[in-house]
Amino acid sequence: MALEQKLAKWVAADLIDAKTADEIRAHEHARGRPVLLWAIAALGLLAVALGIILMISANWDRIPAFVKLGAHFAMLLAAALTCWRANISGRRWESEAALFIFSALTLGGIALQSQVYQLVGPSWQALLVWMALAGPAMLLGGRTRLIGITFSLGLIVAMTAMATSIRGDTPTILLSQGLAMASPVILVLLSFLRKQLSTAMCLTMRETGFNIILLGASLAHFAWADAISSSQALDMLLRLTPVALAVAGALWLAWRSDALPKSLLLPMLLGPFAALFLTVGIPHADGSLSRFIGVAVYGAMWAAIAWGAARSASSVLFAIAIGAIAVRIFIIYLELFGSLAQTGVMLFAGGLLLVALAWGWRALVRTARMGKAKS
Amino acid sequence: MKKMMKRPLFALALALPVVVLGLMIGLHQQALSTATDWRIPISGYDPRDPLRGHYLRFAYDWQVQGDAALCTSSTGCILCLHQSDDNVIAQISSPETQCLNPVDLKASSIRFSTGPGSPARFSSRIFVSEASAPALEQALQNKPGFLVAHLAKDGRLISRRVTTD
Repeated sequence: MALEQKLAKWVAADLIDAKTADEIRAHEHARGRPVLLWAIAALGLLAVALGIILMISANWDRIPAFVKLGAHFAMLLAAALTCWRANISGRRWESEAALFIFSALTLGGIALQSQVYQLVGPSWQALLVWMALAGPAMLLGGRTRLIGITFSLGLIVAMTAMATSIRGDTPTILLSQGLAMASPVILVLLSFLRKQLSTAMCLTMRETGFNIILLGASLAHFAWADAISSSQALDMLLRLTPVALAVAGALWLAWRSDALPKSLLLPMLLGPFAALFLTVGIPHADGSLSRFIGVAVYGAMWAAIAWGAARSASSVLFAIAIGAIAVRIFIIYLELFGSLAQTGVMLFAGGLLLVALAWGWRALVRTARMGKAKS
Repeated sequence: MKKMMKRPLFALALALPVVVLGLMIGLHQQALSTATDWRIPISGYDPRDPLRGHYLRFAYDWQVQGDAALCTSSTGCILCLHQSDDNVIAQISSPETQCLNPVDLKASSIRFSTGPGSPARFSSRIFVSEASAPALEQALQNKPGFLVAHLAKDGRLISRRVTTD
């Protein structure tokens, strides 16, 4: 329907003739896929799979342990072989599906052995073992966003579960929590290994990593509304050490590759780290001054990202940066810094920043258009 | 060239979980091969726990000896099991105690509870499938229940099944 409307508009505007419109129509119909059919078939297969799982569950304790373990092992081996053969033959989707099932079966195997041999322990340990076992296969064999998302979310969930479960302030625990904090940066770092990984995997890991980095740094700045003592700041410095190393590694790899515009590297990688360091790595009291500084740090981080986005013509990222600043300005209105006058000052400054960024973006777009017209 | 270098690595990556999970099965089976079988009376069951699926919650109906306060201390406690006629005796001991049949409470998922005036109670749970539950529930109402378990050398008391025979 949408294609027909577009073709009609183009023909009416003399952009294409009727013969070209017919050719386009025929080409698109030839490429058409029976999406509804696939969706119904997929639902049917899902129902079959769930039915099998439920029937097995209903008779779980009647099935001998060696049958459960043997059947699982056979499925794992079959998935691995299918993935390998499909990978060699270049059958991408078959390889991806087999790799996904292989990864799921690896996690299932860990859970099954825990049940059969009554192994106890926190779930984050099982998740980390899963990432250690299935992660390399996902990284090396993954081609599409399916495996990219599985790997990225698996890593983030496993590390987050670990960081929130372990308690204490020993150096080992603090560094482990820091490693968890560094996991989105590690995703970005891995995404720059373009020679080793497929493009879709790289893109997925990079997007996931940056989304979590920017969201995390934005949320963390609310700690400016809380007092940070010297001992807490010292603990955070230890936690931030793995993050700093990961940021340095990602910057070095990114600088050498052309995966990301250079104008975005520092704002996207160093900016959030610097904002986080200032927020939690330096002792501060709770008060109006801390909150002012917090807003300024937040604004500076997103303004730098907006500037980098404008220079690299990333309109979506620019819009996100502006939106993030706008949200914070709205929160200022609700926060009421100390007095009405102070709140007014912050709103005034924030509003000016937004106007300046919008004007800068418009100027850049105009310059780019003029440059294109001349050439 | 890139593909040729990646393939052996990818093959190794696919083999890794298969080999490791297989080795783990071997190690666990080896641990179980030296495990001793125990038939422990149980009581106080709750046939269904809807929030957590089909689990049978039970209390071990063994004779408890020793100081229950040890289990609430910072060091914790272990249980040294021994059989006396038809009874199973669980001696509360400190973790350093060397005994023939030690049970690690944490590794065995055994919960300890006590209160003023009430005796020390050790409880756990076992999965019971939908197909087995009705018959087991009926049997437990008429006869005393027993837990058949393996006690591994590392102190894990691995529940195998609940029976009334």
